[in-house]
Amino acid sequence: MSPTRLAIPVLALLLAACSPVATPSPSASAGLRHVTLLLGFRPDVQFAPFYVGQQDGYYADVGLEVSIEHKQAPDVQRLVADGQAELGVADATDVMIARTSGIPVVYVSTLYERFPVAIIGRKGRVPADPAGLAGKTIGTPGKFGSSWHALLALLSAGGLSEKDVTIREYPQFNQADGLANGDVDLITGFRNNEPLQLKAKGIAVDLLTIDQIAPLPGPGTIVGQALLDSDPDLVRRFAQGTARAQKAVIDDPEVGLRAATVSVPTIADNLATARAVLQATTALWAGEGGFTNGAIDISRWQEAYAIMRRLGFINGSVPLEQMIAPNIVRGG
Amino acid sequence: MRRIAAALLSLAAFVAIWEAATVIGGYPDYILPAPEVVAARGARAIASGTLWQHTAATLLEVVLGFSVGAVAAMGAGIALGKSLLIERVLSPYIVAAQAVPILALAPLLDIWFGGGLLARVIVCALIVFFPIAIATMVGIRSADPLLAEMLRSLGARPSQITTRLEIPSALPVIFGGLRVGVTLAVIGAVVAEWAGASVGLGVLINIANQGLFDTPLMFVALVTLAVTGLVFYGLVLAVERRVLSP
Amino acid sequence: MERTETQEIRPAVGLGVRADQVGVRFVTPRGGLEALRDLSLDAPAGSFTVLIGPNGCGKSTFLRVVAGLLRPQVGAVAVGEAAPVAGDGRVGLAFQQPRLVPWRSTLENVALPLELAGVAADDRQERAFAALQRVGLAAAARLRPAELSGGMQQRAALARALITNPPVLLLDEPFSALDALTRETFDAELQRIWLDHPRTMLLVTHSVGEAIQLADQIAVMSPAPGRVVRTVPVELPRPRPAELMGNPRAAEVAAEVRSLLAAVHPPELRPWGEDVA
Repeated sequence: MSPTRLAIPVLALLLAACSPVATPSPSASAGLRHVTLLLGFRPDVQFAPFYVGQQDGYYADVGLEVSIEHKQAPDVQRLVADGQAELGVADATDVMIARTSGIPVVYVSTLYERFPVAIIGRKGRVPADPAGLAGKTIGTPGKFGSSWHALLALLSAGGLSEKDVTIREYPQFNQADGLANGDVDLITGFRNNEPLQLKAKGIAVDLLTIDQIAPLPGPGTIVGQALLDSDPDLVRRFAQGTARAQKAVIDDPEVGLRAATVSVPTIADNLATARAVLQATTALWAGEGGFTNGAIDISRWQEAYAIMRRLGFINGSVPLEQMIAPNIVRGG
Repeated sequence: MRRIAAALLSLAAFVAIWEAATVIGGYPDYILPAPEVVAARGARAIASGTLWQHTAATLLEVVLGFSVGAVAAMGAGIALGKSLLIERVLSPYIVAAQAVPILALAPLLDIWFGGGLLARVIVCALIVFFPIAIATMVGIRSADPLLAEMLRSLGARPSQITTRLEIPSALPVIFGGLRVGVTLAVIGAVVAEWAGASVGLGVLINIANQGLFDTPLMFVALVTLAVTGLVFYGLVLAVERRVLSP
Repeated sequence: MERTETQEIRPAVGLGVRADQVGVRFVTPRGGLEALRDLSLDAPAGSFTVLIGPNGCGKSTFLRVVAGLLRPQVGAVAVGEAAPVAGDGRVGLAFQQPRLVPWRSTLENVALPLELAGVAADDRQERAFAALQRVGLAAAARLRPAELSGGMQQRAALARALITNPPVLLLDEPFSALDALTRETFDAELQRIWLDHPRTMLLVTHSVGEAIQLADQIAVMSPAPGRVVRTVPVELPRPRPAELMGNPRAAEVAAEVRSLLAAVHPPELRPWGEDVA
């Protein structure tokens, strides 16, 4: 969710014109199938499982050679849908909107069992119940994306709407600063990010998490409909390799830290912070029932679909069945 | 009459090329929507009032930002043009400020100036400043020294030489700077909105792109921006024609 | 700065110009340049003085001093009793180029001195129009300078210099850019204007013929640093025709001026057969 460059359509045009629709080039090592994975934002320690998968052979074991590229979040879905990359990571609620808008992507495996976004505030000042959000000033990056969907879902669960709160937008994603200097009462943020930032500033925080209140699914792996139809086995193998890498990092976070430092050398500059972020991140991968290797919780998605429809983010013209592929990862 | 026909013809050609690119390239709507898809989406956005709401906000920023920036720039340009000392002292800072991408500065300016319309007008004015100031400075310097001597021989005061010789001499160049500046003002408004606005064509681009995944709507915003730029450019041209050849 | 607002042209026999051992030095990036040294000249009120000398001898520099555009480092210049002040109305100046403002009409150009002095628009338009009539350019009032021929532009510049009726008029080779035929006409017209409304005239040229036709006295200038070598009186009756070849007295003056010039400006002005001394 970072500001769009004006050049996006030009970039897309150039991409499409200069490089013909990317058919995976069977380059590199011994019979491995080469695929491209698109991640949003910058390279970061949160993406440790992918780095581990690349370096410690989890992808090679399933016959894949994965290369990672970073794009703006909206472009990830579009490029994956168009087949210019095989795989991507996206937020579940964004997938619902994109698919309804006619972008043919499918969510194939869960990466985060717990919803990463929460309402964050100074200790003692966070309502335990969404109804307590009434009248508050809330800082959020913008009126789009999973943070916004989660906020509105929480408000709705508390019988409130956008009109009952004051929204302050932080397009530069620095809403934590707004909380720190008192411009806002509460903020939306990622559980593995803003709380750590604020703690480093010496500010103790409380969280209002969404999992028990409104069951929105967390981020997951996406592929284009075309690839899912033509080669579901490839998708399955990637999900397996990724789940194994995640498990390895959950069991021993240092594994993830090491791999991340190789892929992103700047992480080494601040190992303590990176470690803290990784710990907080791994805690979000597994839900109440433990790590499920990426299985998709259909009932959760059904409830979320209803919530998104009620909030007006989707109009129901595209059914849920087209948005998810629960049989790629079959349970546990 | 012929000018209008030529403009319409080139517009038709542009749309035709766009359509052809979509068809030949086989692009889906979410990557490169065809002209009719954009037009249809635009019609819906106009009917719902959304497009006008965002356009009006951006128009206000452009008009205010350009006005403030142009006046400041012309004043600065005259000072720079007339005094070598001022130029030597100020121009390093002006050039350095120009080299820093406004996209990076805009968020800071937004915070410093309270995050409202004022902040956006200032961002816009800053973008517009440099080309107009330089054009004014160059224009002032281009005044014919022989005419300046003639005026002095008639007893003209320095202020009279500025108003009767240097500024009129500079007008053609200044208008060149104004043309550049007014189109930059549109960009400046968008950049300013990205730093922290809740309404405007720049915001609409973000909403369409990141919130709604609605590429046709994003194109509607882009087309509207382009038209806005053209309209303002045309206005400056019209004023230029009136002033430079009455 | 007082100006008498009047419609009619009064005879302005006016002010004499006197230069006393004037020295002017310029500072250039390559060091100093001495343009004038020890220049003395006396132009009585109402007289027509011509300065003659080849390019670079400092004639234009001297005119600028008299016009108040330059201050001499050495010596003094007086217009009437006082030192010159640029644009105070005592001295009018016509340049070698017309120097008309291109985006103004001819009328607005001629009215410029009045505009700078704050004269009201109607008043100055009337006076400018009258000034144009006096030089025969009334039809060109609404035209832009670019639409006039070189000669017409120079006439307009002359009208501009005369509009405030200055007691002294300086002319820096005003007709040298025109063709010889036009030049003859313009010299005759200049003489007529001066005879009709006498004032002190100081004209710079490098045409001996022009000098003899117009001058009461011809001041021959030395090469840079310029000074007046000698002043040759021209006592011929007026009005003088352009064609003075048959006149013996004119021939004498011409010969004297030419030999002076040659003596002072070797080798360009010497016949080619002579060795350079």
